[in-house]
Amino acid sequence: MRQPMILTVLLLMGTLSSSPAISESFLYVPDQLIVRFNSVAGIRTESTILSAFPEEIKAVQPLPELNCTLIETHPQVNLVTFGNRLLAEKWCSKVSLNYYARLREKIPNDPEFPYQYALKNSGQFVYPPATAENYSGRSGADIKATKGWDWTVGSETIIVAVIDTGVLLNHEDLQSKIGSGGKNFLEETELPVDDHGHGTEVSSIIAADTDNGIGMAGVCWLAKIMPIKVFNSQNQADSKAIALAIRYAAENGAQIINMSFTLEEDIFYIKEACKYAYEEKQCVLVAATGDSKQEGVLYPAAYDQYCIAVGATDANDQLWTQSNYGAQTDVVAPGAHILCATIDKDKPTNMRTYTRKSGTSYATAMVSGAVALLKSYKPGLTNIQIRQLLQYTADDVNQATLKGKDKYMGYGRINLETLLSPYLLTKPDAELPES
Amino acid sequence: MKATQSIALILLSALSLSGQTAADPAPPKKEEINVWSSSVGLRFSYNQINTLIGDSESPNRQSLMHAMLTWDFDVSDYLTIGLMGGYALTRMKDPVDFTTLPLSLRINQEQYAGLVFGISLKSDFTSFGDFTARIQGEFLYLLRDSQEWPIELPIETGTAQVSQNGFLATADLILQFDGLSGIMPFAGIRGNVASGQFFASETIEELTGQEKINWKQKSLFGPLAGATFEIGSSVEITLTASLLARFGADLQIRYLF
Repeated sequence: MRQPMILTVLLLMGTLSSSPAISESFLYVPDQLIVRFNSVAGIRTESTILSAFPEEIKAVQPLPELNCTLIETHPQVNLVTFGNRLLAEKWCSKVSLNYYARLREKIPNDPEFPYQYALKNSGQFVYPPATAENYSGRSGADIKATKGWDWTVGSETIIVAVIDTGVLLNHEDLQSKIGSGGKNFLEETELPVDDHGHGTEVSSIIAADTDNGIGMAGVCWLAKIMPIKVFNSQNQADSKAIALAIRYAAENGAQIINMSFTLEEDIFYIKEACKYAYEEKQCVLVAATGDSKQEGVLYPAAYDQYCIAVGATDANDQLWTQSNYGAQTDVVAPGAHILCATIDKDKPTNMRTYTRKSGTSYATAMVSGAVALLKSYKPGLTNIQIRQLLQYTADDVNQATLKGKDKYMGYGRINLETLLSPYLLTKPDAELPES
Repeated sequence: MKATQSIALILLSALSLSGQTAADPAPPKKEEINVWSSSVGLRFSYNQINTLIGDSESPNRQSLMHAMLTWDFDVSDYLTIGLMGGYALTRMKDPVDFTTLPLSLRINQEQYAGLVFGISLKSDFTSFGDFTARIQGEFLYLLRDSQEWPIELPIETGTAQVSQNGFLATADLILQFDGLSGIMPFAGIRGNVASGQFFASETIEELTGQEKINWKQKSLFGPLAGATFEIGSSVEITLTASLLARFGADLQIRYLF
């Protein structure tokens, strides 16, 4: 997994600028530059270039197919500095490092995966082509899951508590993902079985059984779900049960608590339960901003000290039209037309039903899955560090209009590649002017 | 006090007298003045060592270049001690990843500069015919400079610092041929142990972290061969090449006092 095939390709011409989001592709072949001559300035031959920089250039090789020339430098030459010098020459129009491109992606074999734009958006249709509501998103408007999975697909030791309507325990894509310790706060003697669908949907986004050739892919392939049922089939729950559920999850080994629900009121005992889970049990609490299309993050996401508040985006990296926003918004994730497992109680196909849903609930599940991956890969991180890292590695997708953290998207749309892959350290002068 | 001194003086006189009376007058003994011979020199080394970094099982080749001043002195007929110090450059062939930091970091083929200090011991412990058997060892400590890097994330920025240290301990068992004039070829077995650590730290706004990664040498033994050339009565040039444990070459020019 960690030794993928390496392809050497010419990726960029004309700029060596370092990108804010450094990725694997920014590794390059040592001691090589690729240049293009400026035809206006007259034809230069390889030998004249060699003679012009005898101390820097070791060999020159024409690349006629690319209309470029490969320059091999001596080992002591700083490629970026020398590249800048070449760019200053009249005869040189473009310079590039010979970057490595790596096929560092892990693509699962789940049949619905091609329609999970949130995980990998290549501009595909959001629905299967036959659907009338179909539309295609923008390539790259996703959480870069396939690139993040190259570093980790999670760990079975990570338990995500889903405080919701329960889970369809025998769903084909979830039955192997249910950990111990689930609880039904409505009927203490009953299993936390989903009779609404929401809990199953959220759980499948977090950790559906992935790469099993069935159904869909979850964000964290291996994490376990702790289903905690507090909502009934009418999507109602009392706040006492929610507070107890948060405490129960924290006390029973959940490292992450997914709260894809909202409350209009600030309820002190729910806040205290969040404080307890966050401070005493070091849980990561992930909560939805709300779906009422207004300014104002709802509770418990508004408990800014304890919860990661998540808004929703669509397949074009735009804020989903119904997503609430506000100063407490930490990050956003795709939440529009998200493929997920669900229930269909009256049909024999119940345990293999899938649907598409929209809401900050589903964006919240994406972030819980991302936290589960991070916690799997780096178990030593604290909940504070996890929150900061999610924020700092998010893509500022609305920077064209609002640069930096803003109330609509917080720090931006989460990016699993930046979150999990190593940041390549490059020298401060590793930047060339645009040519 | 005076009594003690008097007794001692008497005892010494008695011993002296007894010695004179016990033997015939001996010829005056030739006094030996023990002057340690020494040499100073310059040494240039280029070595490549396959290292295992952290838990990785695939070797990452480390190139080491040293330029050192050396001072060797004979403390007896059989033992020479050397001190050395100078400048070192190191470079890893493959990237080094720091994956337990909050934000994983990667350094890629960066060159580290720093200082190197060392001590060596050499003993020609036996000779037979035109051959001399020698055992020699050295310990080098490498102290590389800390480097600072910017971290530029979409909204926040920060800094990373990476430093490295390590040691090389070498023991050579050598057989040297002394039957030629002006050149003394030698060959032997080299045992080499190298180990060290990378340190990385990062600060991005309020997010901070540190990580230490150990590295160690993969192969411990290998052959070596070389020759010492005598140029005049005071200058020696030694060339040494080794394989496996340390793939590299070593040139030492020494001026003998």
